[in-house]
Amino acid sequence: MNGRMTRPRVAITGMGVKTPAGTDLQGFWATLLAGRSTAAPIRRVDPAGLPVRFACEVADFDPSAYFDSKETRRTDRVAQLAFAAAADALADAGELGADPARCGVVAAAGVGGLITQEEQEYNLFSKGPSRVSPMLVPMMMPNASAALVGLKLGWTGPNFCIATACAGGTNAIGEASRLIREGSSDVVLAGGSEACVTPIAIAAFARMGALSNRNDEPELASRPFDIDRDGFVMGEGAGFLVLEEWDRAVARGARIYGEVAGYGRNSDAYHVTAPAPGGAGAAHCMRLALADAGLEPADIGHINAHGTSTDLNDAAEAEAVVKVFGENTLPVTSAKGVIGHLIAAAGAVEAVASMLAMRDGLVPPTANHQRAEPELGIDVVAGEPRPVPAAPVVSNSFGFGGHNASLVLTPAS
Amino acid sequence: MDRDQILDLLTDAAVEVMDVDRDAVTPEARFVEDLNGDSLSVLEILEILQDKLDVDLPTEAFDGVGTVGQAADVIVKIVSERAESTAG
Repeated sequence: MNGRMTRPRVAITGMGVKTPAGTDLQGFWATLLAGRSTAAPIRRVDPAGLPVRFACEVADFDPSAYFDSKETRRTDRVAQLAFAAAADALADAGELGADPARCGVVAAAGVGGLITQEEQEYNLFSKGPSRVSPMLVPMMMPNASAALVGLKLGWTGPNFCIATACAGGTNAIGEASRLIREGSSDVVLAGGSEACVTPIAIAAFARMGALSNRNDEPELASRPFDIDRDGFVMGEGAGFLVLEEWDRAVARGARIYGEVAGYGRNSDAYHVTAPAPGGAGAAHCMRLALADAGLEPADIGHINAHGTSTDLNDAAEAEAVVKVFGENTLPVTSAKGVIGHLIAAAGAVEAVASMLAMRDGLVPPTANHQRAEPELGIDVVAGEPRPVPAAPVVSNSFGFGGHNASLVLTPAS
Repeated sequence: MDRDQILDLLTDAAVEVMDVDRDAVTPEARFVEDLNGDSLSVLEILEILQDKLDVDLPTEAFDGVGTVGQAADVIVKIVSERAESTAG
């Protein structure tokens, strides 16, 4: 008997999302399958004067469904979205009956409580230091979401934040699966949250040329792998998954969506924002995940790409996919055409999409993928959902800083 | 601004910050023991009053303050001192 056969398996038994495409699984999945972009003029703040005036916002989120007014005051939107998605995932998982000391939380954050930080910096510069909120530190710290989830649930096991920029959500699920494999947790809520549709973030990402500036046609702006792509669209939201040691999930009769079968993570060590030439780091990362799962490229049914709709990411990711899987060998989709780029939440929300795709045997279309770039050599699903057999999915996320993360997710059977 | 007006503002802020019934916020009520507060609640309330009154309320001035009435007394003193210095 080899080591892999005795290694604890990691089941996914609950999922929750708060996204621009929907704030429950059903609504989220329906919008993804419809391939309808959710990008629209920014509503939370007045975007007048900003170089980019649209984003993918979570329009119908009501914190009072999850928090009393005291908690709402003391938490940034990023932590509110995180806990709400985590609570939904927990409800979806059913009665866990787990020891709280064996329950953990791994939550990814990109920029933390930036809305609160921006408001308080305004107070600092316009009114002075005595007007800075005493709640600023616990509201802006990137680990606030992880802390809030553990605090509200009374879970005293491992609890930490992952900060690998846009790779965070995928890293969170991967690192959470390691907690279960190493035996330090029975159940882990893993995911990510982001809420930075705010002037400083929009200005900053726009200044570096990362954002699409199709202000006149926001709904056409996020177009992953399309030849006319010109940058990503800022999104916000959260996704969380309940990861559970396989045997205990089976023993309690849990509904099992599937398995976190493989995880790869590495670093480009090339440039702080640009991907390594030829997608070398990303390709190696996918190979690490496949090896961890004990699978070959031919075993994979489709790829849930990072697919940000920036020129550089999509070209490098396509090259990486071709390196590992060959040219046009399997369907590739990106959810970002519909929901924009949820930064640290992206990988978590996209893992949820991957599980639903396996459940229904349908790969959602990549919104706005109208003109393929033949040189990319990948088969991007566009227009209609594509029926596929229930087969393993590779879900990729890549972050500024050169962080790469890939998951191999497999169906329940 | 007199003490009753300050008490009204304090009551509004206490209800908002600590999610308590308005009737519970009497001058004798203790922030922590009686009003569901914690070490940060008073700071949050002072933050709201700073904005409403447009005056700095230094945390040190509230050392030893335990009740709503005691907080009102300190605020009345700070507001009246500022009015005098502005007049002068």
